[in-house]
Amino acid sequence: MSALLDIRDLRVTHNGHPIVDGVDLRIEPGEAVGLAGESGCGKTTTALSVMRLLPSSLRQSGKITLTPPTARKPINIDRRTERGMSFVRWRHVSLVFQGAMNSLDPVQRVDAQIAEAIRLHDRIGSKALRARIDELLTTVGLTPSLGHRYAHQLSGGQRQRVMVALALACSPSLVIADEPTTALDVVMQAQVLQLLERLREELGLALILISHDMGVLAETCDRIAIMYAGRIVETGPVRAVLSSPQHPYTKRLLDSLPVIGGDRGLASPIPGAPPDPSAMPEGCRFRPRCPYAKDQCRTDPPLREVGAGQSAACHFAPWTEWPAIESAEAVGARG
Amino acid sequence: MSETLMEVSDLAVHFKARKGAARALDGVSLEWRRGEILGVVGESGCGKSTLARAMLALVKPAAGEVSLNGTPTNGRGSVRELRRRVQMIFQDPYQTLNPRQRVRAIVTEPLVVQGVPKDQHDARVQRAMEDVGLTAERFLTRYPHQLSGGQRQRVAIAAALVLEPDGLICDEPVSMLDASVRSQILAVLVELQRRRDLALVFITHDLSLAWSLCDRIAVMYLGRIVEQGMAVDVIERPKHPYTQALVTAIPVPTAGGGGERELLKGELPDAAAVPSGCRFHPRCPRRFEPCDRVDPELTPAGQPDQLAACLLYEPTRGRNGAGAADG
Repeated sequence: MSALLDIRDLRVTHNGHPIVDGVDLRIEPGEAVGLAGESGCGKTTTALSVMRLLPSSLRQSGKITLTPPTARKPINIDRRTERGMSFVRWRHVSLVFQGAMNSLDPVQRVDAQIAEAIRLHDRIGSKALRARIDELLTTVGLTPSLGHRYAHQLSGGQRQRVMVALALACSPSLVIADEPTTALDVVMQAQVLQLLERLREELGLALILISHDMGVLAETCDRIAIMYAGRIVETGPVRAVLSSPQHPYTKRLLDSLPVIGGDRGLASPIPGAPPDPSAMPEGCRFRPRCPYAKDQCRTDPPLREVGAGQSAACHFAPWTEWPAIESAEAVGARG
Repeated sequence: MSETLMEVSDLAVHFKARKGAARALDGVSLEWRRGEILGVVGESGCGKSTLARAMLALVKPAAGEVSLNGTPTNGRGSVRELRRRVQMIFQDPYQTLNPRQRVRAIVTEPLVVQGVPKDQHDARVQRAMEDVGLTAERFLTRYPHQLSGGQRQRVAIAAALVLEPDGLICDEPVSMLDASVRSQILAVLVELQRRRDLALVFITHDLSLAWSLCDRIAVMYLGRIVEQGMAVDVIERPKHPYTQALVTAIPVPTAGGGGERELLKGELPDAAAVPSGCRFHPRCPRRFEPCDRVDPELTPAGQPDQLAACLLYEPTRGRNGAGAADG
């Protein structure tokens, strides 16, 4: 069986500088994959490439193939024209943007916005359309009467649910959610995540969840890919990666998160900042910040399998134990 | 027990709303001790930022008072003194720094406002910059747009520190920052608290962070404190049903995370239409008979120093009766 989405050697550059630099990613039907990393690591750019929504100042290369069960043959996203893409977006793959607050049209009622998305793709009578809108709103846990409201009359959580309803309007097989809960409070965040999980079960959706919050990813995803400076540095089943990280970046990232019931107090922060795309370090891109770096790290470590389904781009993986590092007392601002 | 830096008593702040008044703060009492990190947590709209602003006399209270070192802080002279002793840093370092001022001017300005003699300026600015881990020669001549997010937040902290305050109120200081920058900024704050014996109020919606950082925590709901106590007790053994619901909703970044759980239904009600009785009762999974009529006060619950505003813990009424009264 072929993958639902197959990304091969995706590269995105800005003025020749790499933003995404050779990303390979496969999503199986119904699978939830998390993309994690700090801002600027290329996770949103990767998502936008799949939708072919990158700004024109960026150059994209690499193969992206989508094979939805509802399509007759595989879709070569990378070769589609803009017009060709308009049949793919929403119908086969849709995107829930970051910050629902600003993604809805402020001067259009909610149901009109959903209707617009449906009508672009389906010829549908007005009765059936109304029924479909009500069904969608109910699916995401909203009362259909809320459809008559404008975005500003809804709370943040309700707006985010409307965004999800929009994404589902044309029954796609893949939904990409870019930081869908970042602007929400814990309770609302948990409600939206529970909603995504339920929809995945009921509709057999595949999901790419982009988030910098490891907790969110841990609870929602089957697999996770950690990105750093435009590359995937580690990937694998979410439990394996979280319980036994195999890349120093993943390790330090996880250590910096407080886990209730564990050790209180602050972990020593990762010194410095991610590199600028115009001045990528040679070899391993995490080398300048890595406490375990050696001379060998001046050559590029490939992403290779180090455990069951788990891969890491580190010369020294698999790590059986992590040597203690002296805490960075002086937290100087470098950069 | 350490001495009190600031005492908030029965503070209320009301804002005009379409229908009557929104009770953003509705009778909050809180003690902030010298040298401690006090966490204030809750969902957006619960009044935590309003509390911070009221503590610095940036909004006018409808009732109650704030006293600093035992002296009430109303009246012009005392407000000036208040802001010299207690400073604030905000969430968004992109909006708090004047884009047309160089770092030197930004960090010096509080000294000018407070009338600190000019010959002390350079030394104090230098020290504040050192404290936040920025090399003075490199950064003083820069403009905010030449700084990264983390560097901006450091500059904001330096400007707050330059008056050598006793307390610093931090309103979501790291929620806009990435993981690695976030832990650097937190390290700066904790280091300051230790070295300068600075008291911090840490306002956040991130309960894990509050748990790891704070000495004590106050949980707010709809303009009230519903639970307070030692951070470890409040988060690991929450007593108020609302705190319990918040803690349950935290996503856990561990391999065993996830699983089924009961989530709070609905959303925070409008502060202009506070429910009768206990303000949490419409969403409360444990409500019982008089909860819609009786407004509970903070009562000892669980550990010593732990208080919860819930009828469950009122000895005469609560189901687990006297068991709660070990405080």
